[in-house]
Amino acid sequence: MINKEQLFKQTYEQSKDKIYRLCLGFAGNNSDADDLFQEVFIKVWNNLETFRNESSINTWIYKIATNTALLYVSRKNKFNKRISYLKPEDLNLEIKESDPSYTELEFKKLYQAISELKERDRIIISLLFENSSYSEISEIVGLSVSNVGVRINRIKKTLTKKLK
Amino acid sequence: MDNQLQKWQNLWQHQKSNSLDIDKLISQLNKMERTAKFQRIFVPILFSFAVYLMVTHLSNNLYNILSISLIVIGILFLIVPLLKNRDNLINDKFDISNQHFIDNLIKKLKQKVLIPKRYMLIFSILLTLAFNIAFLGALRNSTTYVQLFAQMTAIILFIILLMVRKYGIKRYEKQIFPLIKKLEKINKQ
Repeated sequence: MINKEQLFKQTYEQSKDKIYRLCLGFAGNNSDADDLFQEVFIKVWNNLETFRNESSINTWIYKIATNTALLYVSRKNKFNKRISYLKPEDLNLEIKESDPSYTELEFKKLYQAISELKERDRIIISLLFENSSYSEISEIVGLSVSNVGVRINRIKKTLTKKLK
Repeated sequence: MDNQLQKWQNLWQHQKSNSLDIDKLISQLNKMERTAKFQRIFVPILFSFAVYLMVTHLSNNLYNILSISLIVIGILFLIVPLLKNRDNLINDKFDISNQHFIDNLIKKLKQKVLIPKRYMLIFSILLTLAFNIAFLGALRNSTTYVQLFAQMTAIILFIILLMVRKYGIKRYEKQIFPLIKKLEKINKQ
């Protein structure tokens, strides 16, 4: 039988990149994203015994990550003021040399723009970018599927404006 | 997903996590769990031992028994919500929807404000009453002047406790109200 530490390590390996992106999109800077990332995995550890395969591990871990992010951002009033400080060195990019379609500036702008959205919208767009279905997003956020669709359209318009 | 969203998604997914020393984190989490377990066992034992000492070492007259009972009830009134709140922060359920989580959190934070407001007041009244009764018993054969002085001391203690409570309310409200406000704002989004 798999023990708690093994299950934790396995969960970490499976989800670390997705969760980190969500944290960076939410925080907008590397320092807060690192703190938030660690806090998420502390909560994962504390809640690991409650995971009973009733939902997918993805949905389960996203719920923990997004709730931790909401609590983190609410506790930290100065959080928003730090958003504008996202620097290129904050980013840990894996842009292939053979792939000239993306520049660091574009990348920075995208994360910056996402971190300036309303908290709920940040969560929705991050989940969408991680290939979550509308119904999965709806289950995580606690809104109806149609409401999620409406919000995604609105977020798209906002991001287009910000990234012009 | 349309082309624009697809482009942003491709860009988004290039970010990789910064490495976290997972073995170190597990060892720290195991340590924290052991400490919490120890505290959960140690605090009730210490409390029971203190009550036992008071009961066995003080003379068993009605005044002392009443005083001890009031102190024990007073401490329980304060310690139970404090421990419950602390446990909530450590072991709270995070694997629920965002909406459900925010609603729960707002409810719990509003309950937390009651610790200094309600439970500290009950504790102060019970503790002062316990001292009044204990002095009545202990100073039965003393002069009226000494008895009055002792009762005044208990009242001064009550005033100090009220001042501490007032400071506690301010501190709690300063920490909790902005958090509730922020969560309510997210709820309305």
